[in-house]
Amino acid sequence: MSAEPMRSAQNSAAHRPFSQRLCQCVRQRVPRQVWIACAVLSTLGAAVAPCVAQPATAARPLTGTVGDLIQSARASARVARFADTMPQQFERLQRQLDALGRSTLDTLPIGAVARASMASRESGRASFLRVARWNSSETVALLTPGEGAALDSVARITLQFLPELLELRVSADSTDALLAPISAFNRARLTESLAQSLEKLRRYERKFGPQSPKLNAAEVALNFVAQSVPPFRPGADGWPSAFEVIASYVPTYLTERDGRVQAWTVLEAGLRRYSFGDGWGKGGWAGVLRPGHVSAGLAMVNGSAGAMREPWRGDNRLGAFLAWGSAKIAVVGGAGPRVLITRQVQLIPFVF
Amino acid sequence: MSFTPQTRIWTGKRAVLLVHGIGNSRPGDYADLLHSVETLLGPNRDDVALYQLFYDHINDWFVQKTDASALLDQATAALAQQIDDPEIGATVAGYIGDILWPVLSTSARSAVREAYLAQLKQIILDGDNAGVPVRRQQLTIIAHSLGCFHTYEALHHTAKYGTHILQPSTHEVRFANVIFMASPVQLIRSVAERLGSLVPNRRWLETVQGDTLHIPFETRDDREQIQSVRNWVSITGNLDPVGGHFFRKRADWAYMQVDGQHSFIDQQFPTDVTSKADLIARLRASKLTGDAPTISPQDPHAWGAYIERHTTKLRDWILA
Repeated sequence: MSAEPMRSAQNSAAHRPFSQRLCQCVRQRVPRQVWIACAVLSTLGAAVAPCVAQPATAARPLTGTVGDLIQSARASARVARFADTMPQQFERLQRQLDALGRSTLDTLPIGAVARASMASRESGRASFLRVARWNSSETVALLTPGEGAALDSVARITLQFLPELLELRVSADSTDALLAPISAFNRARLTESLAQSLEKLRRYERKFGPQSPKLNAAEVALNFVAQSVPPFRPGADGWPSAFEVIASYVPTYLTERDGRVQAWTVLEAGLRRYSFGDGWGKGGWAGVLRPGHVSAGLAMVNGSAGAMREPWRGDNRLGAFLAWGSAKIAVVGGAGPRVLITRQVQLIPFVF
Repeated sequence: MSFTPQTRIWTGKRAVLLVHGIGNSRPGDYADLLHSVETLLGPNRDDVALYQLFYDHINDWFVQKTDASALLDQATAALAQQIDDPEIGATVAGYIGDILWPVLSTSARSAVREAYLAQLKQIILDGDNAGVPVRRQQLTIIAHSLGCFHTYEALHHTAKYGTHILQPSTHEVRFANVIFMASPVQLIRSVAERLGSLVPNRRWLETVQGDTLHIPFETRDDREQIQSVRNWVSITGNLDPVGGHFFRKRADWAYMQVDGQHSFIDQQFPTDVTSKADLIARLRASKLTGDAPTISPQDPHAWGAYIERHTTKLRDWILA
C-alpha cells in the first residue's frame, strides 16, 4: 500500500504538462467571459475532504518466503500423516507442491505474493481470467499463472485439513508453529483485503457521501431501476458502480447576449461518472482540475430565455451539456447557437 | 465522516463485537450497553477485546442523497397486509418499516456490509498482531435488530466469497458465538418475497436465498460443509414485533428460525410489573406511603433489557 502515494504522485507529474496544454487550448477557443465564469463557478464547489483508504493499524511485519510456505505444507503433511489419513487430499496437495518445484520461487517474499494474489482476485472462485491475470503483476513476474494457482491451492488444502489432524498428534503450540508461514500468507492477504474494503467505502462515500451531487425525485426513480443493470449496480463483491443516471430540470443556466446576462432553463438527460482514482475529487484547485465526477448528455431548452421555463414546450432547441465537477456548460443549436453555463446545485431538495 | 474500523489491543484470545440496530448512533453512543457487557464479564473483562460497529452515518449518505420515502411507503403497505390484525397492522408496519429500506438499495446494503467486513478483518488482525492465530481466536458477535440483518448478510457473504479471507475452512475464521437479539431477518425475508421484483439484485440479498434461512457455511474440498458459526443463538421477546411476536403470539412469517439455532423467547411485560404478586406488593406499598404506585412502561425492543435478562448465559458463551 505504501507504494500507492508514490505511484499517484508520479502519475500526477506525468499528466501535468498535458493539463497545462489543455488549459491553454481551451483559453484560446472559448470566449473569455465563459472561461472566467467557468473558473469562478468551479471554485464555488464545496471542498471535499481527502480520504485515503488505510487500515486503522498496520499489521505486524511480514517475513517469510514462498519456500517457507512450501516447507510448512510438506512438514505439516508429514507430521499429520496426511498420506495415511486422507490419501486423496494428500495426492492433491502433492500435485500442487510439485507444480511449485522451481528453485527460484523459494526466495519470493510471501507479502508480495499475497498482494498479487489479492489484486488478481475479483471473486472467491477460481476462473480462467483470474488465473490468467496473475501474471499481470510486476511484483511477482517470476510466478507463472499455474504457480500462482498452485500456491493458492497449497494454502487452501493445508488449512482446510491439516490443523485438525495435527492437533491429534502434537500440541496446539506446535501446530501453530508448523503452520505459521501459511497463516502469515493469509494474514498478508487479509491485510490487503481490509485495504480493499476501506477503498470500496471511500468510493461509496465519493458517490453517495455529503459532498456528492444530490438526486431529484426523477433521478431517484431512474437510478432505482438502473441499479439492477450491470453498469449501474455494484459488483458482486461490493465495488460500487461509477455511473449514475441524470434527468434534471435546471433553471439556473446563464448566457450572455448583447452585453446582458440571461437565465435559461435546461432539461438535462445523461450520465454522471464518478472518478474514484487517487488525486481526483479533492477540494480547491486540485478539485477543479481533477473533480470527483464528470457528466455529459443531452440538453433541451425552450426557444426563449428565462428561468423556470418548460424546455419541452414551444420552439425548443436541442444540444449537449458537459459537467466537469460542479461546473457545467451546455451548447444548444437552433437559430443562433448558444453557450450556457451554470454550476451543480439543487435549489429545492429532491425537486431541482 | 469516513469509516474507520475500531482497533483494540488484545490481552487475551477473545473478542466481542456489538452491532447495534435501528437508531442514529455514532461512536461514543451505547456507552451503557458497553458497560453492561463489561460488567457481565466480571474479572475476565480485561481478557476480552470489545468492539462496536457504528454504521448509521453510512445509512445517512443514502438517506440524504435519495428520498427513499416513496419506496418505503410501498414496503410498509406490503407489510401491513401481511399482519392479519387490522388494528395493529398499519402501526406495526410503520414501526418496522425503518428496517426495510436497506433491502431496497443495493448500494446501501453493500456499503454497510463492507463496513461490517472491514471491522471483522480489523478484529482478526488485532488478534493476530497480539500473537493469537485466527484458529485460536474466540470471536463473539452480539447483534440487535437491524444489526442482525447486517450480520446475517455479512456472514453469508464472507462464507461465499473468498476474497475477504474470512471463510470458515480455508481461512479458519469460525465464530464461537453469534447472538441475534430481536432479529428481523425472517421478517425482512417475508417482506422481500412479497415485494417481488421491487427488490433489486435479489441474488445478492442473502436473506432471501435458499429454501429456508440457514447458518452460513463453506463447502470444503472433500464436500463437507463447515459452518462459520459454532453457536448460533436467537433471543427475542414475546412482545417484540421486530423479533416476530405480536402480543405474545409468534408469527412464523416474521420469526427467525434457523436449523441448528439455539432459541430463547423472553417473557415480556408491557410495564415493569412482572406478576400479580408484584402488582399487589406495589399497591400495598403505595397505600402505606400514600403515593401513587410506581409503574413504568417497558420497551419490548430495548437492547439493554435483552442483555440484562441473559447476563449469565452471555458470560458463559463468551468465556467458554
